[in-house]
Amino acid sequence: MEKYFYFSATPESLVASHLSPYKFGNYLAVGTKKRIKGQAIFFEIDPDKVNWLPWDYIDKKLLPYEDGEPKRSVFLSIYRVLENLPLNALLDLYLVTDDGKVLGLQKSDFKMQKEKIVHLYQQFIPNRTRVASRLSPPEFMKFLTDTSKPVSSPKLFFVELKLNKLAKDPEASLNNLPYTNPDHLRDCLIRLQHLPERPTKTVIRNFKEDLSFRTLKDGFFIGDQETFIFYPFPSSEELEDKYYSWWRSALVHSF
Amino acid sequence: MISKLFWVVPVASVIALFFAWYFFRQIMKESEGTDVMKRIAKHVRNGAMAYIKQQYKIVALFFLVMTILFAVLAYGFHLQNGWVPFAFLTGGFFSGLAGFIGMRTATYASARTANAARKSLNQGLRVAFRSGAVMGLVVVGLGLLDISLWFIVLNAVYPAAENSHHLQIITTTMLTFGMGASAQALFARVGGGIYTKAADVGADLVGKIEAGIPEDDPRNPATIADNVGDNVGDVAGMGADLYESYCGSILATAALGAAAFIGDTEVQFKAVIAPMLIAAVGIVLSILGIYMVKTKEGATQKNLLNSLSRGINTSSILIVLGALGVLWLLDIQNWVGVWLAMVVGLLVGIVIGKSTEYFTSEEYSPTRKIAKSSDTGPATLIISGLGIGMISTFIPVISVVLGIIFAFLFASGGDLANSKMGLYGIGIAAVGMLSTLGITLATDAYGPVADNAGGNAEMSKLDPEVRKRTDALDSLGNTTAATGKGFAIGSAALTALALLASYIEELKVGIHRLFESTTSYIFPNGFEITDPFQLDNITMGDFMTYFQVHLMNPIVLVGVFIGSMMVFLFCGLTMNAVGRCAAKMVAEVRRQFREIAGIMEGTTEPEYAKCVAISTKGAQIEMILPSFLAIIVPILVGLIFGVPGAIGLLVGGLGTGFVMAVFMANTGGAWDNAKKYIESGNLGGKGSEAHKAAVIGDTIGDPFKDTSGPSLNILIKLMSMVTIVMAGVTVAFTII
Repeated sequence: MEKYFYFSATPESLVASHLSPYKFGNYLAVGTKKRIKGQAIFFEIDPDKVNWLPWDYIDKKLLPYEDGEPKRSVFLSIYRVLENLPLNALLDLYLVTDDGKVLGLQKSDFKMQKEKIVHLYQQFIPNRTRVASRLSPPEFMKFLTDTSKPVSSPKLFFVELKLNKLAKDPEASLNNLPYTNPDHLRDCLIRLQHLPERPTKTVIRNFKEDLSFRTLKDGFFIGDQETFIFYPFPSSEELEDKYYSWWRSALVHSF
Repeated sequence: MISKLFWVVPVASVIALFFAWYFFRQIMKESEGTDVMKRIAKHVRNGAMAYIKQQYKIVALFFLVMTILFAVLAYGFHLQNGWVPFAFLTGGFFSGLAGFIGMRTATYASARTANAARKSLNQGLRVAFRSGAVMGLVVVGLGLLDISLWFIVLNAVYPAAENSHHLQIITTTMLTFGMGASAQALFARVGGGIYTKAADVGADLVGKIEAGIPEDDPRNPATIADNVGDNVGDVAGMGADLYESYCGSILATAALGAAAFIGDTEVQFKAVIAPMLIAAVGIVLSILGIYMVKTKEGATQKNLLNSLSRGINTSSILIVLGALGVLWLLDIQNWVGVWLAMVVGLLVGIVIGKSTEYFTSEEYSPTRKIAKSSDTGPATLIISGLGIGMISTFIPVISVVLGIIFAFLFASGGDLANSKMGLYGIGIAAVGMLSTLGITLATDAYGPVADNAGGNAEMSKLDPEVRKRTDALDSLGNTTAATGKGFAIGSAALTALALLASYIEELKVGIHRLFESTTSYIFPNGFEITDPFQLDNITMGDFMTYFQVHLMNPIVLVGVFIGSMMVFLFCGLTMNAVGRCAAKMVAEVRRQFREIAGIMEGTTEPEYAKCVAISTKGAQIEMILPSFLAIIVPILVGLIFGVPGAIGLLVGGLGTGFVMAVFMANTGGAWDNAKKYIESGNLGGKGSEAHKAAVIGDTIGDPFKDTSGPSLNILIKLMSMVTIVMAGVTVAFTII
């Protein structure tokens, strides 16, 4: 059976599996007996680019079941995985809705907006902090992976969220943005606006919920001081036209 | 001349049925689409048929018992006309038949609509609207056919030209077929309403909220039951409901016409056939309007809305002129005043429709205020919805009040003492509202077809564009349906008032019948008559005095209290029924998700039939108690408290029921649209805290607007009908 390797961000872990990315995503979301559900975000990785994989352990554990069923997951690492993972090992990124629909995203170049606006970033690794910032995504990556500063990490994985009109005017209406505690978000944006010397402002220290995929702006970013990788998220028109099933599932909210 | 004019009525009914058949044939020529589409449509059709078969078994048993009871009363105790059992049966039969045909057509049309929507929005509208038109035309066609047949048969037995009492007997006997229609309608509305909401709430609670899968997703075991529910509740239930309203308004007005001109057979005959003729002209104009609903290929949603509005508005304007012609031709007393009364009825319907739209559409401030209140959670959203729902009763009630006053004044020539003509005017106002039911019901009934077509498109995994088109059709239907609902609610209030007046005439007939076995009749106040023809000279006011129907009589107040309580009892029972059925559905859907492997992956088909069976069985069991109470309470009140108690019951039921029906329909509608307003990208949109609160409000509102609320219209009229039918017993036996 073919072996696949995945770097999951929900939670941070490295997993080996016999399942292809779409089947693996479905498995992560709803399990085998379908008694669970939960969003998942993971990368497929190229094992040849990772020189520390425990191949003996993998060969011993990643075996099909006696009835021929594929092994769904063998956890290989659960601590500081991104820090130790070479960025060139990252293949496609997969977004899984909580009922198991999987969307694959491929790397692309990032075109920076010239306009100066406020951004809202949701970090996944190393922590799940939500931050408002006047820094663009590449600047934000540089800023937080600068290990000469006390608050930093060697690598970072985050996504930009929509702020719509709030990006320019913190007093504007929230309209279609489903963020919890909108008054607090507005306070943070106003504070950021009034303190030009401050590049970031924490909005949520530890984001515990599932991400609303419809709030994603340009896409996902992963990198370090030298490398900046961008996974663009399709526009809603493209999602409706090409990935309707996934998009429809992404728009359903379980309460 | 007059006799010839009457034949327009059966001819119009045949024309309506012919066009219904013709439209049905056109629908059937369309393709049902792919094999998957056909399979899903078959699932829904079979589910709907299984439900209707089960329902008709129970209803047939009820009709059998009631027919035996009426036969015993008529032939054993001579307290009723011998035709009553048969008239009762035909009313129920035709009402059931209208619902059955409409539902059958709708289940054939949904996949065809989805398939037509693959080509264009206009093609989809054409098929869905033709299906709604079948429902509309079958209801008016069968309604008027039943009325015509009974009029011809009874006229042969009691020739109207010979004796003015004959027309009174004919019209009051025909009213009893209204009870058959009302009883059938109540079962259809209550059973269908419980079914559809149990399936809907069950599917939503587990599917959308717990399993997190979208609406109409084939992985949801309750999704077929949900689609079946649209047909049995929104099509068959609504068809039977409006059949009953349509016939009830014509029959009550005819009875009032017969009473208003007693002693002059020619004028009396004209007054009796006037509402039938207006309805007949309305059929022709409805067909004309249906043909006006068409647009060019590539039409936008706005074009479609304009097209639908053009059809309805043209029919409504022309019926004003048509009715003027009918009344002029008949040359009935104060025909201009009677015509103005009809115009008043139409205006009341339009005002109620606009008020409904204002209070329930997301375009206006009341619904937006409710949505805004979701910022602070579900509790404030619910309080706000209830508050605005209560306020929303103001305009409809004041409209009906003004409508009653002006219809009365116009028809009576401004003479408040001329209550017979005034009440006849109120009846004509109700007839005017429902005269173009053929097209207004078409715009109402095509919505569920479009909704089902959307479900079929989703389950068949058709291009998302198809779903967008069916959604557009559904949303279009909701907009035009607001006016239709206004007419239905307004006409129910006016018809119930006309029925209340008809009750007095039925009492006279009952006393007449008592003289077959006695030589005198003593009223509760001690006044005695020794000749039944003395009744002709007793005014309505005298009758109230003789039966001691005044507010100082505690028996009247007792009746008012019981009537008001009945509304709440009925609503409570039907709402709890939805809750219980939905709970069973939730348990079944959870079980299937838990026990059947492969549902979530879409590799195994869920057991749809089990969910259909749960809703069917639940609805059948749950509809019995509220329906039984609606029938037995008026009988018991009449037997125990006599005429004052019975009139009090009807007054209490009408006053409370009408306001409650408006409140429930508008509150539920406003909650539904508040949720849609948020989902369309306001207040945080889908997934926001506001959205969570709005989903809760919408779920609570479901039984408000689709089960209890619409059933109240029928409850009010059924209680009146039962009281009317039992009038002979009430005047003969009363405990107090």
